[in-house]
Amino acid sequence: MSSDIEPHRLVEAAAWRTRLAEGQTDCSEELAAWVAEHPQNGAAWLRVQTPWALL
Amino acid sequence: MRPALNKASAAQLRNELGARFCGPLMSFFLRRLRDRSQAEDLTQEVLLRVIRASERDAIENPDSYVFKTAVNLLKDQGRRTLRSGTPSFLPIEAALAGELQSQLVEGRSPERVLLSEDALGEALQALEELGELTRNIFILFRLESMKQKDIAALYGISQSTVEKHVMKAVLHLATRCGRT
Repeated sequence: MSSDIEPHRLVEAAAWRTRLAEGQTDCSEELAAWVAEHPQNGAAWLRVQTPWALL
Repeated sequence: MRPALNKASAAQLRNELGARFCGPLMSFFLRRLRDRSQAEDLTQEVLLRVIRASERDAIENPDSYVFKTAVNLLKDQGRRTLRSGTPSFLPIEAALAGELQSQLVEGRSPERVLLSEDALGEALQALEELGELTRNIFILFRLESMKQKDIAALYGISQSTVEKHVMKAVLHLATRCGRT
């Protein structure tokens, strides 16, 4: 697991990424609120989003 | 898929593959390229490669093989695009637009990230490291845009199990190659 981001934040970011992709509801505002909660949330999201966007 | 083929059955296989994969492959390429004729060419190239491969050996998991071939072709296309200097890949999805993008992208261009062949190779390698079921479910969800309930029906498992496999794959990719 990545050493500089708390593992549970990566798990949460992966859950957000999966939920957004499933697209049942528009939860982008909730995601933005989660990102704003803690600096590491943004870093976790970026770490999840980067390889996601490659594929 | 089936034992190695003779030439007589190749045409039949082409028809079967076309009926099964043409639509999903076109969707896959069209989402990532701006050019319909390019998408059609790449779709035909995938089918041709699968037929050639099946003439040599049996293919155990055709869905995975077809889309792995498609991803590799897209990677090759990305390399050609880099050399020509005329990017044709679609940018990162709208989820990162606006406020989120300014917060999170930190000056990195999504297109730059997208076109990094090293990063793509690393992501593909990370996919290979996943268990077969997790990898296949992720491919169907991410690359073929199938809904979780449809994947669940396909495999005879619950939607929450599908979600767990997707999350596992997303987390693995992030852990293995999310650093930029």
